[in-house]
Amino acid sequence: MRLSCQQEDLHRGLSAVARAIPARSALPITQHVLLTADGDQITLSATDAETIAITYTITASIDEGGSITMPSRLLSDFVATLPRENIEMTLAERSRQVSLSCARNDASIGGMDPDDFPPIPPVDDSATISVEAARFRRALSQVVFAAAADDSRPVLTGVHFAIDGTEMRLAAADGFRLAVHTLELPDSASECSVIVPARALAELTRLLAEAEDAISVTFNAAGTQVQFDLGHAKLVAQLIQGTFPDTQRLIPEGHTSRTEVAVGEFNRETRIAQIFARDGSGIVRLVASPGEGGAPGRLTISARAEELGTNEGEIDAIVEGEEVKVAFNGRYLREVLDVLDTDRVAIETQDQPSPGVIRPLGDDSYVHVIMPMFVQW
Amino acid sequence: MTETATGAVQYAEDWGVVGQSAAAAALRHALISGRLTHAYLLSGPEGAGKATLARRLAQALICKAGVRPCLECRTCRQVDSGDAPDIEGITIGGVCDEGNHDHASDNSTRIRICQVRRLERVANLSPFAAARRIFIIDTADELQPEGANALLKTLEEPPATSLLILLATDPEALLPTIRSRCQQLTLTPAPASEVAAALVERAGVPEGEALDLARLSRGRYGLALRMHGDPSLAVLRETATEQVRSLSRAGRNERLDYAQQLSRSWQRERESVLATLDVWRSWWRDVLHASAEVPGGTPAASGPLEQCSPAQALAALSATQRAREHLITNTNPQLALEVLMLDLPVLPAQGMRDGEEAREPIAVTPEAD
Amino acid sequence: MERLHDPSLIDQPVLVGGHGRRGVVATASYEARRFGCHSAQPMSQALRLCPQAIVVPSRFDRYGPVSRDFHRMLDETSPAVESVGIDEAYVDLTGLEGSADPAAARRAAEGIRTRVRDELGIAVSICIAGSRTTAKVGSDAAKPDGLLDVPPGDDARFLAPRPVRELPLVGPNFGAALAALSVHTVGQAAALDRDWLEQRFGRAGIVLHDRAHGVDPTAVRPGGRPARSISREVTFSNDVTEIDTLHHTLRRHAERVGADLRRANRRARTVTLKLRWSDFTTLTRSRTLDRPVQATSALTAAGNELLAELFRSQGQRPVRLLGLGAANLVDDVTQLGFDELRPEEATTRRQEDLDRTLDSIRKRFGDRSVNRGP
Repeated sequence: MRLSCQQEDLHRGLSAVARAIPARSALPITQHVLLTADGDQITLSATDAETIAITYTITASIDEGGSITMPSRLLSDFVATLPRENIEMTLAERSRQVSLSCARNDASIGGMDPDDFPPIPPVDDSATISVEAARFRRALSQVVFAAAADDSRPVLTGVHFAIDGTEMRLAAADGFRLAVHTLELPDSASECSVIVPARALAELTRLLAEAEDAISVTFNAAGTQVQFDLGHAKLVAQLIQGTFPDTQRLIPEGHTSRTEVAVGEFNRETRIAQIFARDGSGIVRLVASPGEGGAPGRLTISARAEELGTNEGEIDAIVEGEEVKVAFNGRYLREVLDVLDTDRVAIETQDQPSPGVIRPLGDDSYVHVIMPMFVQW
Repeated sequence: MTETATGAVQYAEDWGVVGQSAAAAALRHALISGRLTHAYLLSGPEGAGKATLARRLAQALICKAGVRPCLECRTCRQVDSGDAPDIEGITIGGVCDEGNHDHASDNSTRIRICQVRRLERVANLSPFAAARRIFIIDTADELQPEGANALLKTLEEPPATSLLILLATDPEALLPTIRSRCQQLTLTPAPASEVAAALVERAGVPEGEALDLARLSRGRYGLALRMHGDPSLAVLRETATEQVRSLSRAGRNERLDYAQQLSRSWQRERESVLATLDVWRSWWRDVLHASAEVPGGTPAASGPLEQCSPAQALAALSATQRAREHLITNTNPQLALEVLMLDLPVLPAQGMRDGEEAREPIAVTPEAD
Repeated sequence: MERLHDPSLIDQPVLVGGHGRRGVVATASYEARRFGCHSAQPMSQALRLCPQAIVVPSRFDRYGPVSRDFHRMLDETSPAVESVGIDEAYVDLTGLEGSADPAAARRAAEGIRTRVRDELGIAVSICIAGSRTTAKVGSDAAKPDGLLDVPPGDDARFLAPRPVRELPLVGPNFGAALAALSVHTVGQAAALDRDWLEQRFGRAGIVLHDRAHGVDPTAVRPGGRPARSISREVTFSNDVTEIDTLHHTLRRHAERVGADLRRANRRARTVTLKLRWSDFTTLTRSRTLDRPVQATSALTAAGNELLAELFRSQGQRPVRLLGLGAANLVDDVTQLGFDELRPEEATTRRQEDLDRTLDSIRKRFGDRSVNRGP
């Protein structure tokens, strides 16, 4: 293998694939990145040999093709410090030593047999759908955080993809909250229902930041893998087995009270309350009072910390229906407010203690449900 | 492996796990008939071949050669070296999903619950490269109680593409609910003659040494092989066993003196003290098995090894286990060892040394092979 | 132990223990024992027997740790402990082993005295009474190292001969004012007219009248410091080997610990099992749970698991004492979950509702009015 490429290209590619590398693994080879030089490009691959694999291609001028694995951390740390110039790379096949030179820096890095690298699972082309990168990224950011981090039910650590006709419904729940985002697809697709690990989607969200146009999503026929193809980058994830619970049933129908507030103000007051709520299981209390005699309604957001103090903030609100008293975990509240991109939001509640249904105003694609906390008022 | 004709026949029988043809045949049969279950419990003493057998099962599932894995292709070799994707060993000090845990250097004495949680997460993912995700829990005796409970959940609803292989030296000590959810295979010690013959044939051990190793390992090929590779192990085993037997007959002062002596060595050479405790543990386990054995058991384990009741052996076993954990977790070493010394059973004085030799239960009988 | 630190004590008669009138001998050296000194003896008595003895304060004789241990022992007796200073506390014993059972209360009081003496080397005086005032006056009267039991209703009669200054509300000024009126005993104060007292001393006069008549409706206010743990234990009259009996006992403990938790609006993160074998070795095992519990069934389950673990690791032997405790207490707030996604929690919630219902039935109709099925 003998080639040359641009430092910025190699750096970008290495950073992208490094996201697949596990912090700790029983398999030492997973700490390596695989370089394959062929035609006029280098394909970089990394995987945890468990949940995800990422490949990234960069253009290069290749004198002699070939492949090698190198310790990812060492290689990317080295490349990151190099100047933005041309990098020459030569592999001594027998000793598996790679010599790199760039400007006046030289390095030699020991590689390993590329055949020992876990094979990146090929995803056969059975059902491919196309979706616009920016919209997909926004949908993921509104859903992925609600998946369970560590749960007694493994299916809840993933995001449910339900595709039917021209609609793709993404849902995540952790037992205490539920996030659902529905995307319109440009073309009709065949019906499909799978669970993608939230961790893989979190990495995908980052890759999507530099993607433009449409990306294609392919689920394999066996129902074991999904591939997200961003053009120069591909991410393959192993699907979670099992059946996702029927989340539609968890969204309450109708409400007895509806409180409409500005997202920014609500978020700010929640953040302040959270400081005080840190000690008391994160409880943030909301009281929504309808306006009387022409006065506007208001929403008070409060928290108390034992022996430290209390905090109460008040914001203007349009309150329809009865007065509402409800307590939520402040973190759950803030995490959803952080991903809303509309100006105003509505909170719908029923008889207490009831779940709070959060709907961004003027955007029907998203709905979020938070279960309340039972507290002594 | 030497590819002699007998070697090939033998390998076909026992997958190269000496003395365990029956267990190997049972697993092979399950594979061929497509009746492999989701969880197996392989039990047997240390060095009997549990881990090897588990790896063979994994190889049989993913090697292109099928139920008689070649052991030579890349996949087979990766399984043996622990580098195969989809095949994960769950051991003390292994990995988990918690970012701030490092069990390799935190003096773990058990398989932690976080490792079991990781198993559960990964078991529910579609396999990466193979047709199944295989987990080898080595050993299930070392599961933290919370971990055992967590494992139960995966055993109750095993994901379709997962296979759990639990290894255990003391299956009786596992949660009964865990045992009942696994297909159980017991690896019994092989006749010493078989172990000796295999040592000669497969490992090229000289005949005289092979007989000694077979006897000392009490019918466990793996242990015999280890002692062959490291002769100091054999010496340690013999002297440490001798020591614990005489301590069980010693008076209080002698025991406390020994505890002090041992705790001094602990300051200098922890490894050798731990190795001694390991031999003691394995000794009491053997005694326990032999004393609880119904008459007419396997040739290697018939008759009591030591004049003590199963309850005494069990108490000594758990006392040794506790002392080991206390030492590792930095309890005052002298205190931990004194407690151990006082918890050892008080056994009747032995008869003449010669008479004892005559009662040595694992005489190598010159059986025809 | 103490000699290790001071070689000059070798061959001397040494008494280790607390000074002062409530001090108890924790250990006596052989030399001191020859004079008849022994452990658990009041220090004053030991010094009479052996005046030349050197008294070394036991290492527990520093107030901080002792006070902490003392309060911990009280916390383990009852969920309602009101601390008044480092060495005094009110303990609500109603509901312990049934509602206000005099024999049970006496057993509990004896238990506290024995534990504090044995483990801390300090004598405590206790008065069991129906009101705080009587308990306070009575415990002073019981000093040193005594136990007084004032039956409910006997308060006024018991208080009458006591100096009026011993009443907690009578401070030096109030006392002097009463002395000027020739009121020295509680009985004399009780004889005064209620309206006159009010006219003379205002609100304090009314309270004095009530207290002097043994009327004290103030309840023990758990806190100043909230209860840190709640537990129940029982010593069997015969050592128990039957696992069913042990399970039954744990269930009964869980029932009571659970009721205390619910009454105090608290939840336990940690469940502790305490067990004493017939040879008096005592072990405790505890488990910290993912989510804080309150339900009797959850406490029982945790207790049973701890017991099974203990038996697995130690072998099953005759049991002399079995106890169950709840520690690491937190406020009763619950994050509700989707029942469909967390069925196990919906079950817990139903059980907790049932527990509260049973609690209220028992409160109205007595402890034995309802029982759970096996």
